[in-house]
Amino acid sequence: MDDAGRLDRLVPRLRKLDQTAFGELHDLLATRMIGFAAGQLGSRHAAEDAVQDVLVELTRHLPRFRGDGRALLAWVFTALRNRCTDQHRRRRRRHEDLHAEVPDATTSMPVHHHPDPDLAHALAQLTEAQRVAVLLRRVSGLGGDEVADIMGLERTAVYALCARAEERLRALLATSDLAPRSGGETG
Amino acid sequence: MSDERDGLDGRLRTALTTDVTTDVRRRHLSAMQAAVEGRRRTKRAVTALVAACLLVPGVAVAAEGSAPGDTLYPVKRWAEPVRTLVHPEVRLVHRVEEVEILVARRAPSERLQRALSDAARELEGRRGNDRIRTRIDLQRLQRRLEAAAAAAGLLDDTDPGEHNRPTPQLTDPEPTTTPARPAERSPTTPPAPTADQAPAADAEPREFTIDDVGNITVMVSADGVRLRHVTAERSWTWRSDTRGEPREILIAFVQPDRTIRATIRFDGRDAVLILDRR
Repeated sequence: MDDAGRLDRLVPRLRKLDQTAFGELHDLLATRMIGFAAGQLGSRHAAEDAVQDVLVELTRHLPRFRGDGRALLAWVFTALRNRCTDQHRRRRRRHEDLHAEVPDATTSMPVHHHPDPDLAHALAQLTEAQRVAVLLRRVSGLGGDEVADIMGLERTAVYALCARAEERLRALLATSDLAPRSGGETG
Repeated sequence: MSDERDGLDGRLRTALTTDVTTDVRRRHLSAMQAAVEGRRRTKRAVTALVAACLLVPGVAVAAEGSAPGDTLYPVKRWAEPVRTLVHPEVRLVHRVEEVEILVARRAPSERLQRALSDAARELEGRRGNDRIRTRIDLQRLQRRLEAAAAAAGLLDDTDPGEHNRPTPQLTDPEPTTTPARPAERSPTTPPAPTADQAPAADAEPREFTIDDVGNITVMVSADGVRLRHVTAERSWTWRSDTRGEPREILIAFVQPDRTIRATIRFDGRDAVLILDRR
């Protein structure tokens, strides 16, 4: 059974705010949600917090939720994407306040303590849409239709976005692999 | 190309996809549970608040038509001080309405008497209140009260011209049972009948005269008949041990400059007080 099918069966119990269903939902999605958020935010801790916020928000939304498993998946990742975007904006604003200058894209992402700083740097240099598309497809393992639901795009547009993102990532990573590492991996 | 993709996918997954630890899982589920509980608490509180908001005015409205002795009557009295802030005449109007309600229900005369006393006291007490006088016709309210009292037999209201008379001086609902003071009795007041003089069904009317102004309370109960007469100067109580039906009649009136003759006739079932003004 695919994720949407399993979620379909889970939705009625989730709507009743069944604690066991919450556990099953967490087991099904938490790893992929945290992976997506970590790719977006550059920090696993921040990702875990963002996921927690979204899950709490979901409990408020569930009694009124009338969709199926696929709609629930779209809701969860859309909410997570929005939360990550908000955090990005807040960080950027805070950075501007501190340094009184416009930072480049990478400065808003805390790549230190990242298991793969080069990858984090590379992801930070993608456009937001490219990053979201590639993370949802490659890290969260969602299908083209599901990513299209979340991003509000056509499926072909998602594939194209992913292809461009991956191409850029490869190029960035190839450059960084040749260059000496500046940040150092600390895990 | 495929190798490149596999390499990139692998690198992304290795860096970003790590199993969720038990602690993180527990933390997330606890937060979800706490949110659900918090929401339930809020929902209960809101429900209680809404229910209270709907119920309190509902009960207050329902209590509006209550009278002494009703379950909701305390609610009506409780709400009065607040309503009086906006409508100072509320308390007075309520008291008069209560007398009317009790009369319509043929309430026990003791309760009726007490309500009438309260209403008369309230009417008298508010007479000098300008705020009330500008909002309500006190004369009209008094006429309503007198009409209700007359309908219940608490007032002698046979003369239509009596509407302009002073506020009835209503008797104490629980008259004192102190022994009669013979010296203060009206000269024509009959002596207290003894137990062997208990009225038969066809007994002749007993007649007595009260020759001055005052309040008369006649109480006929299982214990006998008690008549209490109160004037500004004096008060006396006439009491018999007459056995009769457990019935009680209370009357009160003020007739300045008139002699009032009252006749109590026992017919075995009812005690009838006939008032004949001269």
